[in-house]
Amino acid sequence: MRRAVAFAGLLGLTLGAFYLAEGLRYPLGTLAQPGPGLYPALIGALVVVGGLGTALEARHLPAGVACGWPRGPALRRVLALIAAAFAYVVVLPYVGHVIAAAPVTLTIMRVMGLRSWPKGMGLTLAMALGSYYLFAILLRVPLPGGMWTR
Amino acid sequence: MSPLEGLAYGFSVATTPLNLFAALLGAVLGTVVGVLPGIGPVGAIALLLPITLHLGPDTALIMLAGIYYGSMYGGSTTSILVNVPGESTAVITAVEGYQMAKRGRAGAALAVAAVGSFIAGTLGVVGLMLFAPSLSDLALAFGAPEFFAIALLGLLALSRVSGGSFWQSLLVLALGLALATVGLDAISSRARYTFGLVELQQGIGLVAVVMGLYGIAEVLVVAEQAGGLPQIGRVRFRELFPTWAEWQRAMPAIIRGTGLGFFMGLIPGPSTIISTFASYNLERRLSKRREQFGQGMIEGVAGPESANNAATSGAMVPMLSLGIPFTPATAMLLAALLIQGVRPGPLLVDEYPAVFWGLIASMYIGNVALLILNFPLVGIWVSLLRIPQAILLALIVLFTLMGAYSVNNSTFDLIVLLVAGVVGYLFRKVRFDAAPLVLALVLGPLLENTFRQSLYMSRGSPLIFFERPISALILSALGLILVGPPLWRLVRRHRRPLLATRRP
Repeated sequence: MRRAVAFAGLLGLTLGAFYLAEGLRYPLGTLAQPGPGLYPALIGALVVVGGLGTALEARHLPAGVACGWPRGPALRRVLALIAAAFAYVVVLPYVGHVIAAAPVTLTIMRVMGLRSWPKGMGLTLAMALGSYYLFAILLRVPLPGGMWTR
Repeated sequence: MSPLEGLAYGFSVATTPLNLFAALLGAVLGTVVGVLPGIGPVGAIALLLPITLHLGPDTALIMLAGIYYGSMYGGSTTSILVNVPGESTAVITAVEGYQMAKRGRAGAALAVAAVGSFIAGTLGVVGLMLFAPSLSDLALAFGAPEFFAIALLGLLALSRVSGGSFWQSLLVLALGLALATVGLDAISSRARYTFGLVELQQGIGLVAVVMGLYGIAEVLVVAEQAGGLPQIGRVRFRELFPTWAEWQRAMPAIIRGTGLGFFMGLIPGPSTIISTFASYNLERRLSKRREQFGQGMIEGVAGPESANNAATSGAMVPMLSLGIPFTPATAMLLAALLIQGVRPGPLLVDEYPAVFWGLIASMYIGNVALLILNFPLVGIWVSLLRIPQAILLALIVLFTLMGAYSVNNSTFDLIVLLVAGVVGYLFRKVRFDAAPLVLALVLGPLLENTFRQSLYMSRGSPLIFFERPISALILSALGLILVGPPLWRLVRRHRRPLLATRRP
């Protein structure tokens, strides 16, 4: 835990320094007429201070407390879920919602322990079509149709 | 409009078929969210928020507020029956409630939790009805320095009381404030931190960030654990009646929990959670059978369950009358109104009486509906726990993705959602609280605009924040909150060795 929190603090510090450097490119103005760069400069300094404080404080955290990072099957489940969701985002504009949704739902159900393929396929179809009906038909959300609508 | 006239008008708004349906739907969804461990009220409000774009502001707020207070009812069910808190606000209920269930008094615990929630919910709305318009009248005299001071108080006080380390909360808060500056500057219209991306000019989507931090992150945590389904006992209707002696012990705890919860809701911080712990400690201190706490004391269920419900009403007072939310859930309610073009604040009661009084009246109706839903129908909600996790998670992910997309019809928001989801998951691992980031993202623009307006007003003198009595008072309170606890710890640390040397 100590190492992870220290790393998070240092990452925050780096992000804060980058944010501050970028913010200083905008006009600071004066105190009487503050420009768009003044407030970001103050916030950037606050991020740096917060990151530094977190990193230094990590040394005083109790020893032996673990973050509990996932390993083995637990890690595979988490990564599969993230990958499935990102895959949906990537293919959505090309194939439309119904086709993009099917692999995501099927992957999640399979990695979460649904063993039966026919049941999985049936549920996937129901979820993809049901969600399409709710959002596109009932709520009139213009979902991307992908190459089928071109 | 007097409170009674307002309430009568509110009932005429809340009892239209659509608004009645919205209140009931919100209550049902809130109960479901409360019962199911995993997605909480903030994630659920974010998930449903895009749907409310197709409704009027009064209907939208009625439904989303129903989810918020409804989740407080449902959270106790799984705490009592299976020792799994459906909500973080029901953690303390699991201590006494589950012990009662083991002794065969699950029905009594569930009944007291539901009735306590109902009484607290109803009295809390009375408080909201009386407090919010008065605070609105007071806030009409506020200018930019006062709003700046209140927003700063809300943000920094949360980082002090949210439970984690101060430095970690400060870092998360500052990152949220930094994210809030992305997009076009409201005063100069200059693009900041957009890196040439058109999608970033409107800023980072709040709904996508909240859905990621609270929805996707929670799904990842559940996927990692992937535990089996809990064993659930049956609760018969005739068992749902506490004995007279149990009622006599529970009622004073309910009243005390209501008062405590409502006033804790008014102050910045995670009031719905803190109020349950405060109420539990109060009941233990007042009890003549203090040593029996932890073994199934009904006061330990009645007090905290009432406190968290009353706190939801209290937390709505600053959101509605000042336009400043102090909790992530009320921040989402504020976002729902802003999307609809309604700006909560001192003028809300006069400019949008249908929104304000409609909400108040709907909360009375919603609390009655929740009592019916959670008392005799408790068995139905418990059976939700039997839905396989695989199906539940697939549904949540799918609806989260579509919900985030439908706010702006943008695939860029989906990327924001997933990045926020991964960040939220990592936050859980290193025990960082995401609440300061959400509040900072909501309050960031207000903080910056009022800060710059104040400097314009004073021609560059930062003393303006201390020269005006109300902002000076608020900033003094903030100073006390920030400096008080470490100073007190320092004093105690130095007093201990001093006392030790004086002892013979």
